[in-house]
Amino acid sequence: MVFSSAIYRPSYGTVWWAYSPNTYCVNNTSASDYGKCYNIINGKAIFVQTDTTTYPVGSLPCEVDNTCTRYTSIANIRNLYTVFNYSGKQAIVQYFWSRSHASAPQFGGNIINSSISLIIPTHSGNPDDLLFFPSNNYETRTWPIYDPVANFKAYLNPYTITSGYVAVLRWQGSLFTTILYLSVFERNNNNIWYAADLSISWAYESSPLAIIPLDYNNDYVPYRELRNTFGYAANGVDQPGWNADDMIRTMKDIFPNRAWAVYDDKQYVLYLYNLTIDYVPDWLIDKLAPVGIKVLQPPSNLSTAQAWLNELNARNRQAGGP
Amino acid sequence: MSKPNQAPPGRVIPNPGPPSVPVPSPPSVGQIKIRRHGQWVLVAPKGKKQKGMFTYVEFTDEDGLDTWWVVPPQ
Repeated sequence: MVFSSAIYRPSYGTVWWAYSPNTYCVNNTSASDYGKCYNIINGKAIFVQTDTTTYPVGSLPCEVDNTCTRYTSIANIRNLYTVFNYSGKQAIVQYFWSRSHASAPQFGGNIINSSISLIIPTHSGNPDDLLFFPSNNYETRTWPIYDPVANFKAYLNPYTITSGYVAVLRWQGSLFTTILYLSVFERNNNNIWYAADLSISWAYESSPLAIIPLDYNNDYVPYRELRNTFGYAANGVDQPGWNADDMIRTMKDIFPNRAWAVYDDKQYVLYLYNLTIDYVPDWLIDKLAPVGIKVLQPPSNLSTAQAWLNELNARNRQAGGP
Repeated sequence: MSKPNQAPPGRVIPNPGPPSVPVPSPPSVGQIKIRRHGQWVLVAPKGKKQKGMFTYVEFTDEDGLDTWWVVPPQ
């Protein structure tokens, strides 16, 4: 196979199977339920509130019931997540779709000067680079245009929803980049909330893969060291390296007590470490189609193997995870 | 006395060299033929498991690793 494809579908409060657009939070400071988020289906909504005197960290109802991630500093552009980081390898971003709910319209008169919370992938961490946008006043009040070549269309508040505003974005094309972030225009607004679900797909040169959720338990330090051995992907699966033997050797050295797998795309063999075949999900088998599976080391502690499986499933719900 | 092409349970039968015919005789009872490294080999599997779209058999490979290999239709 020349290329492999990858998909990542993060959820920030709502999710693609949501049957209504009713996910919202309350940012009216006079309301008795201020700081509460409703109809959170999967993941957490985002709530920005910098006043930690009136609202100490951990005191907002959505923090208490674990339905939001609260930020206590404002940001012009907030990078929520790194979708992938392939160091020397390039990927081709092919598609994204996002559906975001927010406490204010995601578009003002101008996308660049929009008031709040337009969530898009970016290659540089800066949506102002506008590689995904035909222009910064596209789809606004004074330019009712549709660019069929860019194939980008924003639907402003298409639903009647309980509270807030909804925007749906879709982009399809090919953008070559070694890194992709999930970024949000926040424009230094305070006391805002937003929720979203997204789908991002990309392709990359077929390679041996390191299958491990690198950011599990905020274990980022080894990840930095691994950058020259293989790349990072938010789904924990599409992490290409250059040589399966090097990857196995490095992983044994850095993650001796974690569960991981390496897929050798030349021999079509999946190597398991601290895992058995019972912990490999069917969707991963169907994606990789290995002819052989070898157990480098069986798990001494089954909870290690179970944690690997749980984290992979959580990051790949569209593939079959619960 | 062990018969040719019959390995102890869970072991790979060493390939005797280029076969005179491309496909070996039908496997003995308890043996399964798999396609490895471009050749047919017979294994006496320790276990069998369906994973996703594929069926794998378990044996101990020549490298000593517990190994599961995809099984073609027998």
